[in-house]
Amino acid sequence: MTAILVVLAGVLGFQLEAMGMLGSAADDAKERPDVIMIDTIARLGELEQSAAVFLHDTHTKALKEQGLDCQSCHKTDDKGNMSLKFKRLEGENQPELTATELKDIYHDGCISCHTETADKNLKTGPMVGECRSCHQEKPEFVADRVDAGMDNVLHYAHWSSKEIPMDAGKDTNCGACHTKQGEEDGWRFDAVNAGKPMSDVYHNQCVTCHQSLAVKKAEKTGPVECASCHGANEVAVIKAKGAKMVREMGGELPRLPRKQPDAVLMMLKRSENEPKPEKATGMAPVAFDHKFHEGAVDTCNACHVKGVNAPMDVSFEAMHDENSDSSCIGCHAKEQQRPECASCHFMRSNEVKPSDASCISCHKPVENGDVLMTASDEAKAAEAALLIAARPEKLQLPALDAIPEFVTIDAMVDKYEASKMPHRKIVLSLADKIKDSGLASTFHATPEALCAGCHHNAPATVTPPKCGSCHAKPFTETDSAKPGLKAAYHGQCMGCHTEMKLEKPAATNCVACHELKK
Amino acid sequence: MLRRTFLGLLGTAGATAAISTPAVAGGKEFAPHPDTLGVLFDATRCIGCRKCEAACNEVNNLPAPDKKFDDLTVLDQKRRTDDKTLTVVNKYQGKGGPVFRKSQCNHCLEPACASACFVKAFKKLSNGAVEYDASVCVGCRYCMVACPFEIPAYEYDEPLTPRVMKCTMCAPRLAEGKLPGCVEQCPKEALTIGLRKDIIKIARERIRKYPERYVDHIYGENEMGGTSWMYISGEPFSEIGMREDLGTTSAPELTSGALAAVPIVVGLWPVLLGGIYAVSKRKDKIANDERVAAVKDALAKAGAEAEKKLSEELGKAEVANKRRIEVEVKKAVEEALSAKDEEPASGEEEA
Repeated sequence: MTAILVVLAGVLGFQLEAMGMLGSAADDAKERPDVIMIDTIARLGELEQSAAVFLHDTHTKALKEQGLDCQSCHKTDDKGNMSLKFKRLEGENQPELTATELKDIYHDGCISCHTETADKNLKTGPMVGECRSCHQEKPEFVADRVDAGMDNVLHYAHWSSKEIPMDAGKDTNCGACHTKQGEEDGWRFDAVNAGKPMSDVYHNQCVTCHQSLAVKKAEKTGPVECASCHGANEVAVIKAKGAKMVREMGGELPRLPRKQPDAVLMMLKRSENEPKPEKATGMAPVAFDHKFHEGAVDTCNACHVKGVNAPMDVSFEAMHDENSDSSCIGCHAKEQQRPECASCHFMRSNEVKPSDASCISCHKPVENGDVLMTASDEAKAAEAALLIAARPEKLQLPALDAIPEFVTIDAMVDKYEASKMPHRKIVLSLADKIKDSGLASTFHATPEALCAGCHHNAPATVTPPKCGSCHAKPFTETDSAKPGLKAAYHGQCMGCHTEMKLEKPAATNCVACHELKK
Repeated sequence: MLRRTFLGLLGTAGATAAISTPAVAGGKEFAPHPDTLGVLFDATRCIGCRKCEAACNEVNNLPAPDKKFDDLTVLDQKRRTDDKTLTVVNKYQGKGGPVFRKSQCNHCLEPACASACFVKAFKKLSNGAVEYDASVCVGCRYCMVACPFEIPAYEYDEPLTPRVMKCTMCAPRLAEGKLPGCVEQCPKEALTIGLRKDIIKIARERIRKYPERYVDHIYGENEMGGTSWMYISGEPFSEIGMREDLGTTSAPELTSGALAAVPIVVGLWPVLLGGIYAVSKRKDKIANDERVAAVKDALAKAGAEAEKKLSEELGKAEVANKRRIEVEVKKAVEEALSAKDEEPASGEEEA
């Protein structure tokens, strides 16, 4: 009897293991950026085996140790361009390969090299008969890639590089990647690249150039390993190096020499054919400080979402959507999340529509609007520069003696004494933190604007009403959103301290703000 | 015979139980009392100062704890309510720093404790509080088993008059028009009290105005059929120690089907099944009696027949015997006569 049971248990165990129900390798799969799952013939029919797991960086390293290079697997066509396909050329002029032919290319190509490497007594990959070592049903490696991007810092590294040759007769090297001036995005969006996966386009552009420079033993070249551009750690290293370079240059990245406008007057265009209106209509124009914003964003694509050659989306939503990262309002809203801004701005709900007064900060009415509508770009740019110069440079504050030095809060003395708040110190400290912010100086248009950060829901003034005039007993039926006076004080002060990430005074340290009543 | 009886009884029992349950389980929806109060706990406002615990201790005249209420190191351990602590604040790790949550009786709209208590010690008042009556409590602690939030605590150290201890929503204070102790003391107004339907609106409004600050869910709006004490939070609720697997069916509703079968089992089955059994037994008894009578009859009949046959056979045998004797005598006489005929000298043997 027991014998039968033991045998049954054994059979069950084998069956479960065969069905893959014991342990899941998928959960323990290690993540790497260079994992490529080879399932090339999937588009030609059903796969008999699961996709093969291929670790690209492992192979480049192994080949490098043997003194071999990309040519071992990647063919070059007659134009000298390296094909990113394995041991074959694919394209318009190449014959279509059948599934069997592709399978043979991979099997013969891979296994033969593995066998040769084994003969050299080096560490090698799976060979004939070890099918499931490549075609893993539960792959032990899973691809985990971050998007490789080109931000302004990396771009500077390229256009200031001595390794990339200058264009003929010019002192810039844009043509090395951007084939035609005026069509800089063409290398990505050209018709010749239509239908190709973007990874191929980018790899063909970037990796092949890096490789050729490495072959030429250039002093500095870019990475060719998958992980160097797509691995989270490596990307962080590159970003840190870039930041260091910027710091060494004085903290400011040199401007791209492409004759960008310094100032732009954003207003409705009117062609000369249309009849001139009697007076200017439409929203007042916005003087946009392009030079400043170039330095404030990571990449041109932050605003020029469709590329630097395409016309910008000038719809209302594109400029004003507070939830978008590429709209004016949205980007400014993101800036407001910094601790020094969030102290006041976190309390303001997004759903409260800004007042008309805030539109004027950007849309400043001009006197000669009707003339400007049909003026040339240079005239408009000049006008924009004037308007930008007229903006306040520094944050405006009320006069020092208009800011009370101490405010004694004694409206609810019970278990604790009245609180003596160092009001002026707090106001000046807040102002100090935002003194360098152009955004703050422009949008805090009046001296009393900063006061309204705490003295809210009332017109901005240097003599605001007492908190108790609106906040009284809690849990009344009239306005359920309004906290009572005690919670108003604590919520306002503690909320600001939390957003500014202040450790002192701790919210639970009551006596730091008001002494205990004896 | 016995097996068929048993199976028949089983079938009847099942059938009667089945016809009853749909009638009960298809219960009507009913809303909470319109005056039910609700309390909203906003986890983004709580700073873990424990003033609510201190207030609860004071208004309920509970004994002083080992560590004072301004000792915030107790937050390093997770605590639960016990017989001397009707509410606790626990600390959890959030995305941007510590997050705190106050734990106490949630005053469910359809309380599991009230449903489990068979002496009606728990009562859901019209103001929303779930009130406990210690005078009828027998100390079975089924309420502690039933509560999905594991809140009721028992005075195990009290030998003579132990009570179940849980938050009362300060029902006596509410009756006087005062606020519950914890709600009154919280410096941040992390606790907001009002009519339950208004509190839900307040919570929704807060989530709508600051969508990036809150998880879009009011815990307690529907959990376990709805509770009077609700929570909104910036962290997922499972991260602040709240069960998300409770479902929206209230505890009484979960058990109503099974409980509705009890009257059937206790009342109907003994009578019905006993009756069927009795009838069946009687039928057997009668059959048995008839069989016994029939056997007796048959025996008697057979006996009588046997007797008759015996006497007949005896008669026949006697006749046959007599005949034989006669035949023998005749034969002997004939022989004698024939011998006499041959020898006329011998005397006459025959008389």
